[in-house]
Amino acid sequence: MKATFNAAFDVKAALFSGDEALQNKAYRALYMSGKVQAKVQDWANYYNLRDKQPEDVLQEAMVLLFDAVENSRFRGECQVETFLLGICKNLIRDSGKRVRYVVFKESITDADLTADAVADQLVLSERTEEEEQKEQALREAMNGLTDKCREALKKYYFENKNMDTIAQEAQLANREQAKKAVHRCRESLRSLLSGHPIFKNV
Amino acid sequence: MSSKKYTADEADAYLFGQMQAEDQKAFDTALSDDPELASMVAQQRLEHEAMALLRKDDFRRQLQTWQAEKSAPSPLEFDKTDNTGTFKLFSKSIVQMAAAACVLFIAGYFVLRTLNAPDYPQMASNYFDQTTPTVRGSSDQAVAEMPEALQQAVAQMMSKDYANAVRLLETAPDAGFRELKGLLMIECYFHLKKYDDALAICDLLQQPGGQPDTQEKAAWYSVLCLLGKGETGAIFQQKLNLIANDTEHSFVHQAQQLKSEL
Repeated sequence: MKATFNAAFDVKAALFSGDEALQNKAYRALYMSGKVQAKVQDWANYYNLRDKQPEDVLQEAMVLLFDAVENSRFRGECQVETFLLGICKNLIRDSGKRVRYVVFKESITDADLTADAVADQLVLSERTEEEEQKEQALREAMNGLTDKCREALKKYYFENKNMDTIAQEAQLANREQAKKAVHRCRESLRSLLSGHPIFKNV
Repeated sequence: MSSKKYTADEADAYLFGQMQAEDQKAFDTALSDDPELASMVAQQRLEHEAMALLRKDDFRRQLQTWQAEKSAPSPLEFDKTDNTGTFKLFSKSIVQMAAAACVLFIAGYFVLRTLNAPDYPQMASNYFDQTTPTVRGSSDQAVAEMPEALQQAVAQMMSKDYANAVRLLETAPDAGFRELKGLLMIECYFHLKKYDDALAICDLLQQPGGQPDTQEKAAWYSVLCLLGKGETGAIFQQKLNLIANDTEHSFVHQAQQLKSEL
């Protein structure tokens, strides 16, 4: 059960392993990397970053990397660290931009591109006012769920857990009960969403 | 118009990208022909978006935890007020004198600290003993509800044979009790003074996806393990402050008390 990193830890393989614990290790290794931190600081100095801190840029870039992996916008076309640095450089260059997601301009064929080269290959899609309002509304709806429901739905949606595992972890009698619990939670979420003025037409 | 009636599960499979290419094509066609199906998918897509946002927010919180773990940056590495690199203008001799002064100051600090240091392992142990019943559940009923392998380990822990308890825990199956098993292992490692092993499990139990109350217990245990190790620097302070400032945290009172003692 020891959580140790060693030199052989393959961040890319871990990120695309489908194993949540390994993915978490990979993200942590990237976030804690002294090399990444130093490079971000260099760019912050070079581009005279004023309106935010280098660590804020790194956090924002990490969220965009997470989103790119989750939505298959990044499939390991280049080194993960290089991709992350490419995002950071763009965020520093366009520090006023509110970015929704990041995507490659065209398909990458050279896996050993430098961070500067990757940065030039990325497009940062800007977040609109409407999208921000929608996110806010979604968060408000989610806040109406109980903690138990949020946990059950997270397991169902993202952790690829079957009903047997959900039943076991939520200490429910069997898979039927788990299925009912998930169904009830989805119903609650549906009603919270449809009750919100922004989503009444969906 | 497609005659097939799709179920909510099939719509989920479509949104999760789990359909075969052929089925997906048929579903796409049905989607453009059947407004009822389109409405159901739009509704479910919204649910997926809400869940994706929740997951992203969880990840943001995880980043905050990691940020707290990072030791306080040196002003020479991360100058928060000046990104222009004016440090380079300092003359070499000033830097050398400053470095020498820092070394003397740090050496003096550690000498004084060693002479006056409180007994951190004892302090950690006292807090740990107070906390254990809350974490493990001290009643006979709480123990009786555990699987047999864990009950045997707890029996060894009661008789303070923590090494044997670790051996039993290592071979106990995880099924449904992974988090409890982890907490028990932390307890054993703490008493065996294997703080790094205990901290490694604390880290694992604080990863996203776990039960919130287990994450709180692991966070508090990690504070005590650092204290036991005598590591009361920036990381310890940040972890302690995170708990002491969170009024809804289960161990807020203990953390505040520890803070005042330190």
